[in-house]
Amino acid sequence: MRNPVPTWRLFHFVWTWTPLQIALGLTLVSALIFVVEERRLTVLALLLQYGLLGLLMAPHLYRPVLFVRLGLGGVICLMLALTAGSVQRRLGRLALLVREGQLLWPTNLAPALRAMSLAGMGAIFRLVVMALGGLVAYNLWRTYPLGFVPAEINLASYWLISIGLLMVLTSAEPLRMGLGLLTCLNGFASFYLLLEQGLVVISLMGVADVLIALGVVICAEAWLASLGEEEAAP
Amino acid sequence: MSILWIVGLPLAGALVVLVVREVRLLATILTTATLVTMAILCLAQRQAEAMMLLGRSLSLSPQEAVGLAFCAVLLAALTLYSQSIAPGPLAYPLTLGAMALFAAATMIRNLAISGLLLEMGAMVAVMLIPAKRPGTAMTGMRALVLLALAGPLLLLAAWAMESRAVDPANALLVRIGGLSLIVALGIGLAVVPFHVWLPPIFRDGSPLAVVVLSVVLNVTLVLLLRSVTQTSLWSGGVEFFSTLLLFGGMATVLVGGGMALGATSLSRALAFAALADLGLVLIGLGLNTPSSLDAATFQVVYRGLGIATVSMSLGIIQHCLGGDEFWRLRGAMRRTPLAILGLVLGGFSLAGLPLTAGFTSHLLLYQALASQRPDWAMLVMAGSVGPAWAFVRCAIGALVPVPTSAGQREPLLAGLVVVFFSLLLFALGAYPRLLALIPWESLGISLQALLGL
Repeated sequence: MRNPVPTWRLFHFVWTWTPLQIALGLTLVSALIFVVEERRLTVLALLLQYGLLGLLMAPHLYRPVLFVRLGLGGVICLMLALTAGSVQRRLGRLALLVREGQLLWPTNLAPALRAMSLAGMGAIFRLVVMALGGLVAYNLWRTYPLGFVPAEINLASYWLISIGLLMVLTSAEPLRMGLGLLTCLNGFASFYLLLEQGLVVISLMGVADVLIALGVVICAEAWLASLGEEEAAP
Repeated sequence: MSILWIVGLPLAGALVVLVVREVRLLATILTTATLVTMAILCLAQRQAEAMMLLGRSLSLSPQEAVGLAFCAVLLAALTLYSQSIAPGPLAYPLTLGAMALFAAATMIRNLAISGLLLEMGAMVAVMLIPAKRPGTAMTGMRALVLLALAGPLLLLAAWAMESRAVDPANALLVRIGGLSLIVALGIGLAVVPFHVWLPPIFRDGSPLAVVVLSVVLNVTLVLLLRSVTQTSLWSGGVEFFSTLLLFGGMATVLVGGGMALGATSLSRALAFAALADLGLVLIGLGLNTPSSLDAATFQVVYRGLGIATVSMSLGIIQHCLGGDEFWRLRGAMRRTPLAILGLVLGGFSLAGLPLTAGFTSHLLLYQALASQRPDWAMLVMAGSVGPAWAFVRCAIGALVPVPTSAGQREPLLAGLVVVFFSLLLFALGAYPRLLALIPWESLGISLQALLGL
């Protein structure tokens, strides 16, 4: 029988990471959000992003604030995960219909078909765009270092902002745009929370993030419903 | 009565309406009553003492009170109109929620919190856009992305301005604060980036969504801009902002006017006319003289009335004719006479044609601009030809007698609301001093103070 790794040991292992290791972890997780097409996995990667960001900022924030932000991150990911499931199922069904040649009016579904594969671009394109984002973030970090923010957090925030914006710009459906937007806002929050320690502002930022996620969910569900209308159209 | 009721009442109303949303008549009555009560509360609290909440000051100046009351009344009329044309199950609670957040953003005297509340209100308002129709979800998502990005910029501006109070010699803080504030307000007013996010909302959104995002949000942003420029700017900042507003306004008038010339549908004509009109507001604020500020205030009010009237007409036309392209409007006078009346008077007011309310404010703004830059005034007047031409084309098309088949009937209640607004625009245009008949003094507001932004 296999001996599972105890949860506390995993937590202990992660807790001992240096800021540089955490920043590298954030880079990897954000890259996953950008590259992976399976939407449920990208939401999981977003959850990991919230966790790693919390870990990176833990020495600089009050513990209760940190836990509240992590909790809100969890709520946001839960909301998005439910929508991601239905988007993935619907797009999977459409892909099957296209493969079997059962779609009589494929032009109606052009937006959905584009969205199935990140605006119709291949994996190499996505990797090149990600590399571009990395280059932009690195150059910004070297040219405009924020003196009041630790270097690792500074690099992580530039990386998250640039990769989030690129994801918004290269996506063709609401859920992926929303994931990019939330990544970008996480990048902003990662350095802004070091500047602003007021509880009211931090709480309102959390509520605003939840409202943004709710907006993304409503837009994604409406997008799915509009696909249904188009499927039904003669 | 506490000033907090202005925020608390619509929030509580939103929860109640959310519960009873399936009974549409009850939901409409409750929403309308809540908004009218909110308007009354705003006017009653216009000179209330500032109060402290969690260490932050809350107050309402007479201009802010009248601005919020105007928005609340406008939305109350839109709610009555929406009773006949299904607005979507969450439209009323979202409208009330957005209005509460915009009111809170106007009242709080802290740029960071105000910016966050404004962002939250915009997020709630954006949720009014998505529907089952193809394209609406992406329109909503694009607006959501841009408005969500404006929030962090406002926070950055607030931080830079607060830090500058401690370190006044730091030029970097001035640059960060000024640039962030300009871009954030530009995004909110749809001037940045290249006027992209607002026009699609006129095509895809319901009249409620159009008015909340193009009138209420703009009024709130103009009030915020006024509050910021009065208190938080650096030395020379007001001149810097005035110049930017002037250039931004010119660009907006010319782009809006030019795009309206080539419009092929009523929604596009309305979108670009509204944009060109916003440009005139920015020019009035940028000129920064007492007469131009008065004219800009009139322009904000008349623009709101014009947009509400035309967007309601647009809703009826789309409902009855199945679309709003110009070719569909041929012979529309016979099938939707009330909507066409609203389209003509509201559109002409937005374009600033005589005998409509918009003519007064347009004329005042042209005069104010001509007194400083006559060549620019000529350009702006040339830019106003676009919207006028677009609405004249609509009117001519609608009046052409062509045989029409039977279709959806024009909803009576919605039509009556449109007629009321149309007659109001006509009356204010034919007799501009009508505004002076309102007993402002008995409300404790001098007309001069009301107009002095």
